[in-house]
Formats: sequence, C-alpha cells, structure tokens
Amino acid sequence: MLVFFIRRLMQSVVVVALMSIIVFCGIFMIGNPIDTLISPEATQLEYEETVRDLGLDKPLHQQYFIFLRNVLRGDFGKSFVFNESAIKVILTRLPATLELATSALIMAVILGVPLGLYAGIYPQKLASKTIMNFSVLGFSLPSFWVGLMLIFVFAVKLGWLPASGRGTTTDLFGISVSFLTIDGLRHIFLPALNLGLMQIAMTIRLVKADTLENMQLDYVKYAKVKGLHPLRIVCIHVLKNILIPLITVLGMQYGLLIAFAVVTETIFAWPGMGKLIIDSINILDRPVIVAYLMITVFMFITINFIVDILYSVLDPRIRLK
Amino acid sequence: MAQNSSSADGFAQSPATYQTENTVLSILKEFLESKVAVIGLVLLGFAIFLALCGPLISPQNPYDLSEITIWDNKLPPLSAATDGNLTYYLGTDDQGRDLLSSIIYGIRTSIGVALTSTLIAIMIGCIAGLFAAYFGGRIDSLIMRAVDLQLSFPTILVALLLLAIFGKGVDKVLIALIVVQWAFFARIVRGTALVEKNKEYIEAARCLGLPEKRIIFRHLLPNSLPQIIVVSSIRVASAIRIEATLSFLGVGMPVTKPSLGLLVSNGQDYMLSGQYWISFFPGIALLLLIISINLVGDRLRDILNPRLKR
Repeated sequence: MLVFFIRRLMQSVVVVALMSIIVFCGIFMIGNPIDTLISPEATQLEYEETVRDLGLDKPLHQQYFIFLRNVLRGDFGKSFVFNESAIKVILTRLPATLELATSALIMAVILGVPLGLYAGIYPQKLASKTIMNFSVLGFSLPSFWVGLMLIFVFAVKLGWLPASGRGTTTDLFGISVSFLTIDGLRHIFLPALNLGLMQIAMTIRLVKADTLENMQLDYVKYAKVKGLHPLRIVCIHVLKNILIPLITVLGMQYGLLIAFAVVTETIFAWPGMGKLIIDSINILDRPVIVAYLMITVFMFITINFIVDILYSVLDPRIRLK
Repeated sequence: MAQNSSSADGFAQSPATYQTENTVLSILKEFLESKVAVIGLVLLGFAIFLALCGPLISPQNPYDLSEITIWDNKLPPLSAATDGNLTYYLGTDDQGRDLLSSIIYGIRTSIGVALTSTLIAIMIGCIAGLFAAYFGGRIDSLIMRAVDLQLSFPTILVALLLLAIFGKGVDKVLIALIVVQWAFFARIVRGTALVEKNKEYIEAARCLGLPEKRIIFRHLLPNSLPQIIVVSSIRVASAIRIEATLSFLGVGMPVTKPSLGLLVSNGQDYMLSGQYWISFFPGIALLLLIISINLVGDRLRDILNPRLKR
C-alpha cells in the first residue's frame, strides 16, 4: 500500500512539473511579454534594460528555474489589472466557485434522487417516461444556452429570481458565502441549476437504473411481505443501497463542475475564478492566467490522486496493476 | 454519414472482410428500423445540406456589409425588412443581420471545424493506438500514459488552457480540438486492436511474412473501424459542443468567422431587455445538430457493437 502511495505521489509530482514546463513554454514562448510591457517609442537602451530587469536575457532553462522558484513560493507576479499578487486575486475568488460547484452537486441530489426514484418505481407511467426523456435532453443541451434561457424565463419574463451576482453574502469563518441568506439563496439557485444540469440528468438515470434493479431483489420482497409501509421500504431500505454508488460517481464529477463553472459564472456574472480567467484572457492579464492554469492543474492532479488512493483502499486489485 | 460510406470503402479494400455490399446494405436496413434514428438522420442530412450549400440558399450574406441594413437591427421574428423584399423569419441581431442566414453560416462553420478536427484527431489517435497495441512494451506504456494523463482532465478545461496560451483563431480552435480528442481515439483503437491482434488472421498474415506496416494498416485498422466510427460520431457532437462553448466564452472562433456559439453570445446582452430570439434560435439550431448526431451515433453503436446484438 505504501509503495503504491509513494509511486502514485511521485507520478503526480512529475505531472505537475511537466505541466509547469508546458505552461511556462506556452505562455513565455508564443507571445513576447516585452511588447506588451514597453512602449513602442522606447529607445534601444531602455528596451535592453527592461529585458535585463525581467531576466529575459538569460538562457531559457535558467528562466524556467526562476519561474519555478517563484511559483513554489506562491509568487506568480502582480496582476496587471488588480495590481495585487495574482495568486491572491485568484484565491479570493476560489470560495465563490467552490460554493457554486457544491450547490450544483446538492441540486443534483435534491432533484435527481426523487425523480430517479419515481421513474424507477413506476417505470411504465407516462410521467416516468417524460422524466427519462428530459434526462436524455440534459446531456445534449449546451449549458451556456440553457443558462441564457433560464435568465430569460425566470429573471426577465417571470421576474422571480435575480439574473446575476451573488447577492448578500455573510461571513463564515472569514470566507464570504451566499447560502446563509435568503437573498443569497435566490441568487445561487439559477446558476447552480444551470451548472448541475448534466449532473441532475446523470443522477436521474443512475438512481432509476439502481432502483429498478433493487426493487426486484429479495430484501424488498421480504420487506413488502413483512407489511412495511411502501414509503419506508423506498426511503430507508432502497435509498441506502442506492446512495453509495451515487456518491462515488457524483464525487468524481466535482472536478468537472469546477471546470464548467467557467461557463456558468460568465453567464450569471458570478464573481468566481471562472469569470476571472475569461476576463483575464480577454485583457491578457498574463500573471493571472498563469496562476489560474497552475492552480487548476494542481487541483485536478490532487483530486485524481485522492480518488486513486481511495479506490486502492476500497479495491485492492487496483494496487496490483 | 460521410464517414459511414468511407468506412464502406475501407471494407471494400480490405482483404479481411468480404461480402461488402451485403454488410453495408444490412447495416442500412437495420438502421432504418428505428424511427428516432431516422429522424436524427434526416435532421443531420438537412444540416449537412445547409452546411454545404449555405451561401446559395441563405436569404442574405450576413457578413457582406452591402447586404445588411443597420436600422433593421433587433427586429423580432417574422418582421419585414424596411426595403421590403425580405422577411426576417427568425428576426435580426444587433447589427441588422438576418438570423436565419447567420444560423446557416454558423452551422457551416460549426460542422466544418468539428469535422476537420475530428478527422485529424482520428488519424493521430489511430496511429498512436495501433502502434501502442501492435508494438506493446515501452511504446505502449508511453502512449497510454499520455492518454491517461490527458483524459484525467475535463476536455473543456484542456481546450480552455490551450486557447488561453495560444489566443483565439480558427487554426487555434482546430489545434485545441485535435489535442483534446486524439486521446479518446487512441484508447479505443488500442483496445480493439489488442483484441484483433491475437486473432488467427493476423497470425496468418504474419506467417505469410507480410511487412508490419501492411499488417497494421490493411488488416488491423479495417477491423477496428466499426468501433472508430461509433466513437467518432459521438466525438463530432462533442467537438461541436466544445467549440460552441469556447466561442461563447469569447476565446474560440474570431468574430469574422461566427459559429453557433458566437451567435448565442451575441444575443446575451439583449436577453435582459427581452429580445430573446438573437440567442434563442442559434441555440435551438445547435441543440438539434447535437441531438441528431447523437441519435445517429447511438443507432450506429447499437448496430455495430456485436456485444449489444441480440
């Protein structure tokens, strides 16, 4: 187990190092950073001075090590726009994104489990078939378009919910969150629904298939014979058996939600990391782009690492590979 | 469906399969048995027709400034043009462009980009997958390590990462889509090729002393084709979706080459003032396109996947 752990950890470190090379080369080779930093009227002397100040006259591998050293210290340079350290700009927006992604997962469970249970218990009913058809649609719908339509229907036409922003936030352990106020909840509902659309569809399909299977099993028959209330059979016995695989699958979707938050945050003007990266790409705020890429890559590698370790704990066969 | 016919050619040249006409016909016959799949096929055929002959049939060229009238901007669907000889069936956008024409041009761009990138990704993926399966050992583990690594990140994130580095543009979107897609094909081709590799006909070909190149491309590849076709149809749909999402975010296609995603994003600002049609109709077109490809792809999977056969 320990050998597997160490080998897997080293793999992750190699991947992080590899990604840092790719990001470094990509960002610093393709566009010349001096052109954006220096005015076109600068003299040759000024130009050379800037190059020397930035360390751009050194050989490439030396530049990379300087970059790496700074990254390890958490120093990605200052954002051109916010005039603050890039990493700080991103980390202040991270909680908003995590809150949105978590809400989307909760949404998937709240909506997906009851609908899936219903469709699994009464597979022949028209309502069930409608639910299943909608779940197929959930996979095909382009999420950015759905977001716009949600805004149009619920914010513009019906006027029930606000279309953008986070609303009133409260501080929870020094991090501002939206879900503790009614206003914040009203703001988070549409973005979370939009972001979680695919996960809702997935939950419905998963729960339906599992319910269908479980309802045929002996323990359900026995519970029925015993005269238990049908609601009790479904909500306690069947649900318990369904939740374990569901949680595993949904947990693995968390990374995907963080990635797709870019789209939802842009539509709903949700002030998270995703909106920040799009804005930064559009105004070429290079330190923020580099910092975002490195942090996301790091986050994903960590998630994958944890999932792999958890799997190997649960299933010893994986370790042997 | 272009892919289907090309696969038929592949079968025809392959010495490993025979009764070519028969196979294609029976696949077609089986395909037509599902009503939903036929609807998908018709829709897809229509979309491809629009993509091919778009400029000939669209009411106006939305990117020719002499043809558009700026004061016709943001007209609702079914309103007439001010100069009277045109009806804007789906309304106009903020520049006064006819939305129907924009959508036809958008479908052209979307399908073109998705098909080109997927075809190149198939080529790269096939070569990588076949080499990995045929040679095994270090080559195999090197290629599959790269595949595993890439597939552990969501495609949209990898594409966004690449475009953040490259900047926007048609060529850059193509590169990003190829990079995010090749790994899927490499994995599926390697999988099927590994199964095929141990079959007798490959052994026979080896015994005949055929060169390795010939065994790989004339024997191994044609027999892995059904799997490739199934995966590629689903990948084309996802390529369309990824490209649309990137363009919507403003990091994909340039403004001069608007795809459906960019059209939807054009209408984003007017959503709040109730001019829904600018975003609504391009989105519907995108949705129908994706659904039709998925329906056709699902049906092909059911037919071509021997495990699902009754």
